[in-house]
Amino acid sequence: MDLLVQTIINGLILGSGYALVAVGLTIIFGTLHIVNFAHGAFFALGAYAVLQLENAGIPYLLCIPLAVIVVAIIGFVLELTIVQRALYDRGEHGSIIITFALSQAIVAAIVLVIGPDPLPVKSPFGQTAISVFGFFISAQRLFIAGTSIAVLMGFSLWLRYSIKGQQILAISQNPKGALYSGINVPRLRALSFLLGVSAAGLAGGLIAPLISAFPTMGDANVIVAFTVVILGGLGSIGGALLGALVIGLANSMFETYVSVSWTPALGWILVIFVLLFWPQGLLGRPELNRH
Amino acid sequence: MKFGMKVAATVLVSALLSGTAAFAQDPVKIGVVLPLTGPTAGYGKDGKMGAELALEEINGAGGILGGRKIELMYDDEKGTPQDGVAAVQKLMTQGRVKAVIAGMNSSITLAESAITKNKVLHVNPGAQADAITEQGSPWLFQVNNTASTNSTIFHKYLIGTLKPKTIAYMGENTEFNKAVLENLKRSLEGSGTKLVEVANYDASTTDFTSIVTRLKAANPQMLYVVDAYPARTAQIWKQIRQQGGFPMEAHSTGTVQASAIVPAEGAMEGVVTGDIFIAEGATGEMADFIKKFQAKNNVDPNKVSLVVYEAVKLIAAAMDKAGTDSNYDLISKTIRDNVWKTPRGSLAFDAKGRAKAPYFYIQVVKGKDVALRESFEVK
Repeated sequence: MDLLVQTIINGLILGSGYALVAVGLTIIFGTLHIVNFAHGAFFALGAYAVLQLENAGIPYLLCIPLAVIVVAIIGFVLELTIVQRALYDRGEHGSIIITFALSQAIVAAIVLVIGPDPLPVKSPFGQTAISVFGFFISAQRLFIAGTSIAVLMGFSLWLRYSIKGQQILAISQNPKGALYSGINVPRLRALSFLLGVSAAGLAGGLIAPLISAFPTMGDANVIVAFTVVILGGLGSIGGALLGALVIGLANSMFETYVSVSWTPALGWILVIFVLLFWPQGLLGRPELNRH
Repeated sequence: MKFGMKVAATVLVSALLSGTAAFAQDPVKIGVVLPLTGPTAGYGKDGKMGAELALEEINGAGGILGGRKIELMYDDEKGTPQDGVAAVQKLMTQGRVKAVIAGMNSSITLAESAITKNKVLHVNPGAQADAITEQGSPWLFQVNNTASTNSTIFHKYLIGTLKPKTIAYMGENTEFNKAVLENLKRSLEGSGTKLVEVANYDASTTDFTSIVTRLKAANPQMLYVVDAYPARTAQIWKQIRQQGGFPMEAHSTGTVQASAIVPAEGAMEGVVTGDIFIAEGATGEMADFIKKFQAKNNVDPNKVSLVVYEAVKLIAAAMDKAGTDSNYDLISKTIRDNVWKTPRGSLAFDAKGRAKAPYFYIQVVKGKDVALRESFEVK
């Protein structure tokens, strides 16, 4: 019984971390219809920004927002110089190649500037674990879960209730219609891209103390994020959270009770199963793809 | 004028005739395939420093084969078998290298050795899986010990000296892990120690909380982790530490370097491991090697730097002794028939092309490095 409860806690905490990596991916896809393969690279940039700021003597908790700003600035420059010119309204194939190339370039730049070795990122939560009724929770993981839920709720509310958020939803549904209604489509697209990559940077900065910073740290995390957003429904924030919790829980149950070796396949098996019965993903909205 | 023509013609003819002699002064190209990017890029960096030191020494001493310099051509295997194969192919076809040094990760080396087999001299500096040299490639040599040689000594120490009643095992699903696990199962036969849990995870695993939870539930006296990726090794031990750790803890041989210990931030303290190299207490040739390496690079060498250094030196010395850079049968015979001096002591290669390290060190993680616990002479 204890093992079951601990496994469920592990799964939920892990899943909320997945959600944070996935949310940026889903925002960018939902608004721009770009499958952003550079998401993992921005994730790594967030981690390295935290690392460099920490080395400059800034405390971790302050490094996090500063790192998000750094990633947003890099994202802004890349959006202005590459993404905006090459990707919008050009279909999804181009976006796959260009964002993939972008990701390789960012990783190579990190290797050149900082080096390939994994570097520790210090957090005040360190290696500590909290014990609740005898169940163990990593303090850093708990911090990530809390931040993740706050960020996801913030995004959801902002998209639903703010004017800019509604404009972004309008663009995601019909960019031409939005343009004709007087919405500043290029600027809002840039904003969505910035929000998406900043979320990746935030996730990187938060997860780095657990896994250390290394140039390709985004790869494995983004693979999970892809299963999460496909499962939850591309473009849906609620879907990303639901997908993340389902995959987190399924992974930890499977790892504890069935087979560790088969766990990586589990996410994709769930994806195939869900897509067979709910082609839009669990919470995906069919109208998102109406042009 | 006529005389001048004659001279010119003679020079021309003799230049044409001695074409081979002119080529003889061309450098001998050796391809070095390392993970320069990707998750094991730290190994690439360490290996390259070792290779450069060897290059400097060989060329500084006048080169090989009557004054020909060595030239190293690097390529990146990026930590994946397909990139490793592509890198080796590129060096062989475009680079026209006379020998290939490739082998940091067993699964990648296995793929690479299929390309070099019967085509070019291949020295595997670091990869340990037995399967690599098991396939009977006549021109393939391995500088590092095999996983089973290392594991046999290590497991004997874990089981016979530390005497845990129960062991839980976790390792990445790779060729290396397979060899170690098989060896562990053999070593456990007839001992009082039981293997209570085995968890083989995939390379894409990012969180080990549930795996550690599962292993903890089995309540083993010893946890044995088998993983060759520094970043992941650090991550695993951090997560183990968060869940309170295990009474005894061990990590696979030959895979614990500063690149894992430093980012683990103390989480690996006290973990038992083993390797063919230790900087602590080095004397003689090894002390010289460490001193030269430090002078050139401002850092301490590690096992990876050492084996790549040895691989370059071995190829150069064997070609020089055999008097050829491309008669691989002769070069291979020369490698097998001689004993080679290295910083570790004398290395000899068996029929399968495997070297056996003269010494094996049981080590324990202490601070930012490993400390010597016990040393064994390899028989």
